[in-house]
Formats: sequence, C-alpha cells, structure tokens
Amino acid sequence: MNAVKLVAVFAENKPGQTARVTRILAHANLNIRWVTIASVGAFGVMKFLVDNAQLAYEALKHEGYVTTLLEVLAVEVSDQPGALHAVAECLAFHQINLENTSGFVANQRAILVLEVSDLARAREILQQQNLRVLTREEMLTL
Amino acid sequence: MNVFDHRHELMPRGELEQLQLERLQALLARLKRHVRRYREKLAGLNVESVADLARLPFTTPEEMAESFPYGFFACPMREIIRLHTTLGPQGKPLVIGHTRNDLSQWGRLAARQLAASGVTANDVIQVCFGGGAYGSAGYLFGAQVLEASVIAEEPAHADYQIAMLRNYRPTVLITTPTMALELAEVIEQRRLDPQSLQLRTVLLSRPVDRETRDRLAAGLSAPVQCNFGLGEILDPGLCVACPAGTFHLHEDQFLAEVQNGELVLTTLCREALPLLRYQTRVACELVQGKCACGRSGVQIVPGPRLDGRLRVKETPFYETQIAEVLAHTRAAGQPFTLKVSERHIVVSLELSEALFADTVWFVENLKRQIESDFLARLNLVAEVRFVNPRSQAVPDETGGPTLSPPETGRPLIQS
Ligand SMILES: [Zn+2]
Repeated sequence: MNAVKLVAVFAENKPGQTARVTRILAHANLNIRWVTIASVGAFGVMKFLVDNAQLAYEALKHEGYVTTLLEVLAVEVSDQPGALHAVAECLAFHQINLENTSGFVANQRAILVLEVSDLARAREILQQQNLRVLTREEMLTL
Repeated sequence: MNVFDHRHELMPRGELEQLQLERLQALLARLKRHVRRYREKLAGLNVESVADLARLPFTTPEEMAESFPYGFFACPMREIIRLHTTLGPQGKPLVIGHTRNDLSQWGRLAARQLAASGVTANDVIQVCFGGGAYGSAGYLFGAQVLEASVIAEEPAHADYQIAMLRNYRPTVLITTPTMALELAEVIEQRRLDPQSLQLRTVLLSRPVDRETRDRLAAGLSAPVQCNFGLGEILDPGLCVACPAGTFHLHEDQFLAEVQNGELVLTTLCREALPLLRYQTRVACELVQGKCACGRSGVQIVPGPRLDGRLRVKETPFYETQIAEVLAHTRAAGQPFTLKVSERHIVVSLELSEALFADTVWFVENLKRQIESDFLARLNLVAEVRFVNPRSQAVPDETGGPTLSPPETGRPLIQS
C-alpha cells in the first residue's frame, strides 16, 4: 500500500514567504491539494499534500529551502461529532503517539491526516477498527 | 583639580623622564633575568634614553595566549597572591598575576581616579557591575586606599539597586554603562526624582559617547566620568579621567606609543606580569598638551578594537567563540551570520535537512538549546534564528501575508 506523503518546508516568518513557496510549487506544475501551517515566533513549518511529493521536494530544495518528506496516515471517518475522539482513543489504547493531527472535509467525506510514531502498526490497528485508510492514489483523487 | 599622588601625577617633565628611564632600565633587567621569553629577545639590548624604547621588541596578545597560563610571569608562584583572568585573542583566556606590591599599587592607581572624581573618606560608594562584567576589584582597592565606605553588596536587579541608592544614600556610583542606562530608565519609568538620590558622581567602567554620557548625567542627576583600561595591563588604574572627559595616562607607571594606529603599552613597575611594548589591539591617538583640568602630559584618545572583538552589553566576545559554542551543539558546522547591536545579538543559523525534523517544536527546542548554550558558555544572551540556506541572498518581499495558508479551494479544518 502506498502511504500518503507530505512535503514539509521550513520557512522564516517574514512577508512573502508563503507566496514564494506556493509560487515554486506552481512553477513545477504541482497542484496543492491540502496544506497545514504551524508557526512559532520567527519561523514556521508548512506541510503540503501535492500530487507529486518527490517533485515538490526537489523543486523546493533547489530553491534553497530546507525540506523533508514525511509519511502520514489519511483516515476516512464519518462526518459526525466524536469521530476524531474515537480514532485518538483507539491509538492511545495501543500506546501509539499521535504527533500531529489535522483534517478536512472534501465532497462530503471527512478525512483525518495523522502523523504517528509507528505508521505500520497504527494502520493495522485502524483497519481492524474498520476504518478506511486511504492510499496515496485515493487521497489525490478525492 | 583633585590629585591623590601629587609627587607622581604632577611631576615636572624632566624629572618624570628621568624616572621613566630608570624604571625602564630596571624593567629590562628584570625581564632578562626572570622571563625566559624576553631573555632571548632582549639579549644585547639596552636603553640610554626613553626614546630607545622604539628599538625594543614588541609583545603580542597571541604570544601571551601561547604561554598560557604563567609563561610571562616574572615572579615565582609563591610571591603571586592574586590571579585574574581576562579575555585574550579570539576569546582565549589570559591570566594576570599580581604580587602584594602589585595589588597595593593597583589600589593607589585606582585611588588616583576616585580622587580625581572628588571621592574622599566621607563618601559612600555603591559598586554595581552586574553578572559577567569583570573589573570591580580595582575600584574596591582604590576605595579602601581612600578609606571611603564601600557597600559590600551587589544586587543584580535594577529594582534592588535603586532601593539601595535610596536606603544607603551612596554619594558615588561605580557601574557599567549598561547598568547605568538601565537604572536611568527605571528611574524615569517609575517617575522617581533623580535629584532625591544623593549621588555626587557616577563612574562608568568603560568609555561611552558624549550623548550617552549626557543622557546618564541627566537621568542620574550627577556628573558622569568614564574609565579606560585594558584587562591585560590594568583596568581601572591605567589613566585618570578628568572632569573634562580626558584620559590622562599614568606616565610614571606606563609608557604609551602608537604604532600603525594601535596603542602599545609598557608597564614600568608591575612585578608579577611586566609587559614590554604590548600591542593592545585597540586603536588610539596620543595627544600631548595642557588639558582644561590643569593636567599636562600624555592624553589617550581610544578608538575601536582592531581585532574584531565584539561586545553585547558588557560581555566581550569574538566570532570564533560563537562558532565554538555551535560546535558543541547539533548545529555544529552550520554557516551563520551575526547581527550585533549595543544590547542584542542575533545569530542567524542556516538550517540543514539533517537538522530539520518536520515539526515546529523540534526546531523551537533546538533553538532553545543553542540559546542556553550561549548563556552557559559565553554568558551571552543571544537570539538564535534559523534561516534557509539561501534565504540571505533572497531579498525580503514586501507586502503579502507572512505565514498564512494559501488558497487551496477547499474548506480547511484543523483540530
Ligand atoms: Zn584633564
């Protein structure tokens, strides 16, 4: 199964940074499907889901950005209250650390993006709970 | 004009030059006899006049650092009763030894400065150097010589110092420019009346510009004088700052020359660590003539450091020391640039892929660790900023949001 990959970029918190990064991705003909940005004081980390993570990684690196690729789990949950709680509780029960979570709704489908310490085990556990873990291809054709 | 040591401070020129020559000849004899490094360099050299000094070899800070710790000492260790350290070239430490005579001489030389500032046995002195600044020792010796009262307490926080100024009613404040500015700021913020303090004089540990001096004189409601000294030679006690703001060299104790714009000093009387034509790495001009205060003789007009020494607040350091601190961290070897201002230093450090884990917390923790290393190793409050390797070459774009999500055409929720 192809895991969903995000591109993480280190960015200084100064005017025009987001625009510069997204311009680089646009010039590489990459489509941004989803983004999350966390910033603390003078800097931040942007994470992108794009149609070709490897290409995005190389384009950003070429422009001098410190960039890494990371694998995440994309889980489809029912679009109703308590969905995230159920997933979090299930992972906590199996002592899997949830490092970062975000989510979005697309075409009436609620998707959680999970960054966890042990990806393979987390996937197994979630699948045992009859939750749908999306492949890279599925995620890009939502 | 207040003079502590009339005989030496106001000595007629001819007599002074004779005294200098005798002391210089005695110095050469001591160096040849007791310091191996000088014995070789000085073989066959003698002086007939003070002008012959120009034929003698120099001593460099680098030589002193190489001979660390005691290579230049001219006394056996049992005669040395005090060791101070000072910052040497590229941050290497230098050890300055003192015999009993050196210390009492230091006290008398510092007393010349205090007396010139009008300090007498009737004064109460508050000495505040704050953490990290060295150099209060000489003032304490000087105050003791004059039998002035010294408050033996040095609170770090400006609030406590102001409380002390109000409770103990000192008439003299000896402090660093950083501390003095902080005090003046707090006094202004609290709307305290500086005239209600009893200060008659403020002595600063190092030179500041005219504007700062005037600002402090107004903020603390007292005349302000600056000291100029060098850790390797004597600090304070090299010269006397008169009310006109001129630095008058103690010519009975030190010979000053300027070589290629650099101040070169010879210690005439020091026992433990005599130095011949020491290249100070400080730019300088020497002026001869009569000052408004009535003193004549050599005046020192110090300029900037010539060896890249930097300073934030009262902490001196070199760029090589920054690299050394970084070498002990996970950011070892990463290129960096420095932005140093009077009270602040920013270390912009290039991030690398190997250092970057994909969370802000990771980068934030790394930043904190490195900042605490700067404090622990150099006593430097530095701000670390990570930058992308090439971003320094890319100009900042103006306008536009900083870090904000771009349009992706989808609703975005974050938990
Ligand atoms: Zn003068």
